[in-house]
Amino acid sequence: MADIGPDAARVHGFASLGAERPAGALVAYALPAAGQAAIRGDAKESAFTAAASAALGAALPMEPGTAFTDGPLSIMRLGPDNWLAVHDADAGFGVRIEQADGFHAINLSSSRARLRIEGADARDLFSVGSRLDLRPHSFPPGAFAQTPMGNATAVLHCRDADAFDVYIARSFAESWLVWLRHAGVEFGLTTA
Amino acid sequence: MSARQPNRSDTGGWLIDRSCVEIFTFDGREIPFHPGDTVASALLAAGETLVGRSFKLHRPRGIFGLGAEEPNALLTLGAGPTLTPNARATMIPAKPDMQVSSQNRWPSLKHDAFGLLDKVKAVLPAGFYYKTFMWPASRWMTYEKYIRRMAGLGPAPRERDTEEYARRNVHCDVLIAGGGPAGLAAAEVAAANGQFVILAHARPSFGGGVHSMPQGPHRRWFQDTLARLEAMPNVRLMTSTTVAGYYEHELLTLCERVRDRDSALGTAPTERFWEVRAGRVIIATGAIERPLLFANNDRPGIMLASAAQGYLWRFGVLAGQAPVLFGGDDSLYPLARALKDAGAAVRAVVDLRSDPGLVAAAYVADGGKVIAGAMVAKAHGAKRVSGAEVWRIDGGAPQVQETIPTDAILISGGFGPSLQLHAQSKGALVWDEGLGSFVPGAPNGANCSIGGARGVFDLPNAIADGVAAGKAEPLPERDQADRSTAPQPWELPNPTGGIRFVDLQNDVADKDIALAAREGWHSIEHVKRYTTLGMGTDQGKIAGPIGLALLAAATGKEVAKTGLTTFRPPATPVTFGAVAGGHLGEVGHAIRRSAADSRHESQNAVFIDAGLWRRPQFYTTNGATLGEAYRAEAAAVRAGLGLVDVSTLGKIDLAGPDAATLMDRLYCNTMGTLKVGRGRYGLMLREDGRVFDDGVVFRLADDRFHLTCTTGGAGAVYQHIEHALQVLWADLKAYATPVSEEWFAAAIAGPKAREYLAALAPELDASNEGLPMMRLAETTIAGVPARVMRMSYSGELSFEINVPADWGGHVWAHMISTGDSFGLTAYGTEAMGALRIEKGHVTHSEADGRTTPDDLGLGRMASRKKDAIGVRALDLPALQESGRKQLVGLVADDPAAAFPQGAQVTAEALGDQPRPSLGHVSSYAYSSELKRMVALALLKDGRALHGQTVHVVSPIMGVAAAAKVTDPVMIDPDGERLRG
Repeated sequence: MADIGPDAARVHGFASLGAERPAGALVAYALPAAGQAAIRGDAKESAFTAAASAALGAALPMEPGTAFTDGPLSIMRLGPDNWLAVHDADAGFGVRIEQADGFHAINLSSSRARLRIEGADARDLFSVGSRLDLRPHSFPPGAFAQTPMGNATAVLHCRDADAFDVYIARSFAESWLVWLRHAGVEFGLTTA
Repeated sequence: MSARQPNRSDTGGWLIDRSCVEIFTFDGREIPFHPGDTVASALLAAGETLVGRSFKLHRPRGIFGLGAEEPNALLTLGAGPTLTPNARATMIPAKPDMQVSSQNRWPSLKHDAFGLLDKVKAVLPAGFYYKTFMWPASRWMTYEKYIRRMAGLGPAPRERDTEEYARRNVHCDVLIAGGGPAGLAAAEVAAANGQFVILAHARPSFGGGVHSMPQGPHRRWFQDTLARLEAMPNVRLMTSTTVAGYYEHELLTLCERVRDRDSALGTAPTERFWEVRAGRVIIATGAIERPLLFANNDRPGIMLASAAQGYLWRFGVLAGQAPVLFGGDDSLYPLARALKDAGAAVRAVVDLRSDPGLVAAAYVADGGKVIAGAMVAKAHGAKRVSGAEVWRIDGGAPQVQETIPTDAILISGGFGPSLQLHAQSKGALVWDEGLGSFVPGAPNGANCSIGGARGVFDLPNAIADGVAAGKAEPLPERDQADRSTAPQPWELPNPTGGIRFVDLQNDVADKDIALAAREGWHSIEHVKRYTTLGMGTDQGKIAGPIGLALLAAATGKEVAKTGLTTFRPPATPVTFGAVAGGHLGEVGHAIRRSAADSRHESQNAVFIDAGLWRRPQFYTTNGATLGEAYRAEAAAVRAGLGLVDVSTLGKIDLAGPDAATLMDRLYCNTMGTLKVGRGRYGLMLREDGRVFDDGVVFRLADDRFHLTCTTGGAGAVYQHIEHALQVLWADLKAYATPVSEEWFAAAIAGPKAREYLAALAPELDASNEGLPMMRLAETTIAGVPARVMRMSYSGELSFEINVPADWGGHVWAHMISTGDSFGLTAYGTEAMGALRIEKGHVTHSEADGRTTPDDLGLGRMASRKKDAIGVRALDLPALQESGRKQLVGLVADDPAAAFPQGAQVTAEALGDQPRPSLGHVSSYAYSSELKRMVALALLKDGRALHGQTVHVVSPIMGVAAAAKVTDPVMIDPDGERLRG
């Protein structure tokens, strides 16, 4: 079994832009396959949080709307009893976390397409399809949100002032790119 | 002043570039204009007085106003795919080569065939169409066609719109509606305090009333203020942007007409629709002048005095060469002087006041003519006003004085605030006796109205309002005006008895409102609907206040107590394109695709919508039709081997120490006893005992289940489970996680399925002993970890294979190529449907929200040893009575018979008499096994009818087919094929 699946970009016809992207321009590109897992449990149960933290190598963040990021690992508390953990580099992460003992996790490594959108106009681009307040002071680096955006629902994670990770359910991803390209025309969005 | 622009003056013209002349066409004629002109100012400059025909009476009409309040000058822009009807000439910037047409006239504007309606207006009172065309009802379809042609505004575009539209959602600290002096002052102060400010202005350039004034220090103030605002990074300046709607919690909608502002659109859309969520809102939308009532007050050439003033200073255009001014306050005199200075031969100022005072006296001293204590009682002329008939009203009965030859009557009935946004926000409205107008009262929400929009009409005080509002400080006390000695517009007599229009756009005259009151319509809301007062594109911005006062007079009530009609968005019209244009096709409506979608495409799949999903309905080769293809696909499954993508089925992971307890409460059948690695078909009920959803459940571990549900039910089932966990049984420790996106799923079915599975998964023991029915096994397929589940929807030996969706396309392709040597046939939803109908498996066509488990023949599934959602409701007498519809199979007698779509079932064949319906066909298909049509049907006491002959009928289509009632399981009742 290969480390990543042949369809790992999760979006037909949408590949990584890699190093070719023009400097400063607004770009969207698929991120390499990542391991993703849902972690479910009661935040008040120390046995659960301890087991999850041990498996993840990081404490479960309790702050809503703010992601924990350490190197390749990001953890977002999507709901009171629901965390999304993402590992940038380890495609086997989801399976490993699911099989860890002492807490409940579900491998969701195939469930979402993940894109990086970068550029000074990125926030304006998102404002075409999302009603959230995405101004820098209310959505700073580290912030994340689940929001309807255009024709799908996104998990939007601000990685840097002008850089965002966007997660879209895989069955919606191709249509969401249709929306993204349409919305991006005004901003000169470059997609692969 | 050129021959082609006879009304262009050298005076004023602050907004135009006189150095450049360009051309657009109006009804095919070339109209010259300067950049900065509106269509209205260019038409006026060119001497085009007649611009349209009225809505109901087809009376000739000219330009009446300066801005969005314009009732008459509605024009059609463009043609074909870019056609825009009902554009207000006063708001549309003139652009080179634009194509402008007049509306509601046939064959031409000057010679309108329906103009004769005006001659019979006496028999066209308010409510005429309601009263006249009610009988006989059957004739309405005939009348309607003609009425449509006579009445109405511009034509709807017939072609698909080719313009681009976009949307934005933004948040700001302060939204300011209106970029006149008050709004500009507010924006600068608020921005200087560090707030993020959006300033929206309907016209292409800011300034508002500043541009309707002669040269002076205020212009310098304006230019400096705008320059400072432009330099501030925390200000978004939006021109050509109308604030259309004000909703709860300071949500406002804006329509930005990019095309009006920028000729070269490039990648920009034609229009942008904005949703703005503001911390607070400052309403600086100015004031609107009120008209005066007199006979034929709708003739082309009659115009609001403030509009004439605006045309002069903004565009250097004279509203007429020899105007008469008519009103009741001092503002007429500076305008009269300015028009004179600009070259117009001002004939007279007709002043309603018998003692107009010093300003009028000074005007007379300088040689001007003033007729005081008098009114214009009637306008002469038809396609253009030719005379103003002046009557004295300063003592006793009105007396005719003289008729003054003129080409323009400029009227002023005083000003009233533009109330739309304040009223939309549900702020209070207060009657101001001094102004004779409603003004904003206590606001509802974080907003305030300033300047003209609250009745402060002079420049210094409007700017002072803006400064205070910008700082979020209380506004200065407003000077309370004394009531003028002039009569209010609605108090004027009508000595000539001619028709006096209140609402120009809808041809509503004062007598229509009086008639409505006599007929018992005493609420302004009723009068609006009965007379059409205040409807249309202008929404009664000019007519509303006058009509209201007339109704108050007719009903003997105070104006303040009569109240206004409800203000609803949009304040000014917004195109459908702006609202919906950014959502067309896949941009607005997502299509969900399976991981193997592109493989299906390359296999010539024809797709069908299943909720948001698209699924292969059938695979076509050599031009096979749907009917041919699905019969062949279904037959191939029964005879050999088929493969179908079932990824769209809903999948939910349910885990936790209380998962088994919850399962037993969610499903009407027992789930808690299920052993790990085994599966069971389950039925969920609604609280009322009807079947909610169904699907197979596998137990993955003591504390973990894998649920499947229908494609269409996936979202609702997840919500149902979350509701149970969050609301019904919050004490249960269990977690539901949707995993539909995670798994690619395909089912293999047919006599060769086991042999084929062995080739796909050599490590797996797929024998009846190794993998019995309803068991789950883990293996590897095409190098990918896979779950194999033994279950069957088709009734054949069948396995469902799940792999992580990242490998879905890869595994599908492997299955197709491996299938070559097994004669594998990929099949779509249509064949899948035929196979399940033959086997009597239900879908939401049968579990349609009305059927219980017993109705579907699944009554024994509802366990009474435990409690589950909906089970107690099954004891309701109504769910146990005889006469309920029950699921049966129907097999056509005649192999050639067709079952029509939406068929009913009767006991006897169709005859002359109506036949009572026994029930209906819920699903039907051609059975490749029985070589005839089969169906599932819900028939009254259907299980008692087994073996009888019934008739599948569609009286509308004239089709009837005899059929035998059977058990729903129409083939292989003992399930021999499942074993393989």
